[in-house]
Amino acid sequence: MTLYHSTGIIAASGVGAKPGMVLLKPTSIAHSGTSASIGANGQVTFTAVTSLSLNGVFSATYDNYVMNFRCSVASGLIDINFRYRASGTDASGNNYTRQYIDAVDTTLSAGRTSSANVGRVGAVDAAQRNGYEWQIYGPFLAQPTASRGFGASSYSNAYIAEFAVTHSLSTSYDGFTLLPSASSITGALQVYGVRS
Amino acid sequence: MAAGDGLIVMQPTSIVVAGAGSSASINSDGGVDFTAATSLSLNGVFTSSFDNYLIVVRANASTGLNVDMRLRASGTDASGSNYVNQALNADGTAVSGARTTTTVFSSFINAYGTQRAGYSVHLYGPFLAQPTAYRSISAADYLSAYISETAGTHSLSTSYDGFTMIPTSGNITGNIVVFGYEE
Repeated sequence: MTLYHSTGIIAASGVGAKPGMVLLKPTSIAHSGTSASIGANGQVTFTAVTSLSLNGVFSATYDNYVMNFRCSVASGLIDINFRYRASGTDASGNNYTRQYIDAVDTTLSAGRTSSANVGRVGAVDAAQRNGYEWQIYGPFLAQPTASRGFGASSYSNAYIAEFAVTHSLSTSYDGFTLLPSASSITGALQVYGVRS
Repeated sequence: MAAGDGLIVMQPTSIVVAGAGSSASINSDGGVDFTAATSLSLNGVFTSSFDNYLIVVRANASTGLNVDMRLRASGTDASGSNYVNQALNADGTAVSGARTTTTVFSSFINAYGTQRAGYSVHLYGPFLAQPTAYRSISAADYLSAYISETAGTHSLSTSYDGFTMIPTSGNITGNIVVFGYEE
């Protein structure tokens, strides 16, 4: 396929014809629970895990990242928390601030939690499949990091729970850990680098 | 690049930046790095190759500010009162919304000068000579974490090839990149 830009054939210039998002493969993963593995292209699948760490997915190549995440839950409505991670160690200080908004039928609610030791991607339930997108802005840069989680939760079969999270430390992170607040999760995730 | 890549970087044909001490440049990936911008225009990022676009921004603001957006054709902003915005915000336990008709896509970005803010903006059909729809989803840094979302429409049936970011005050520093959704 040849793409044309108003300046001409973009492939000929060597710029402007690049894929915008690139699937990344972690250098390693760690988990607690039953199992987790890295697929040939980088997808991480997991079964009944209570924590899941991805190392070496953030790098100097990209500023921003997107994680797509689908999962089922063993029981109940739980939160999917996260911590950024550098060289295999989670950032567990009280440096996360999160703002949520949720919608259950006709009820809207919101709240902010400061000085937390985890961030939050979303809330998932055992009713059906849950799907989330997590946008991460600048985790590898030695600057504060922002992120945004939004998706479709299966609580009451359809539930909106969204989160904006900042992390205040000017530290470079190469990975993250997902921490279900209870129970265990089964599913798959992919991390993409967003060309900037 | 090959068919099936999904999102394609749209390198601007040109950019225009304003602001004391400001600078902006197109990097080797086709994104735009900018510093201390009080306005930043990207030309030639919407084309007939794609209908829909994704804009990803990370930014730090000099002070608390909103960044508005205007569509742009052949170097001229569309500044008529043809933009309608529906906002949805969450600030602590307060949820609010508002609809406005104005001369910009308003609060394209909310940034508060405390930390990093990040935004993803979806534009539906800006190059088509039809009305345009947009949707922004942000992680804003007001009180360290703030949710701001906007859905908007622009009513004119005009083809636009670019846009301008306009901070309501102060200036912004960061990176912006535009992607076309492969069809």
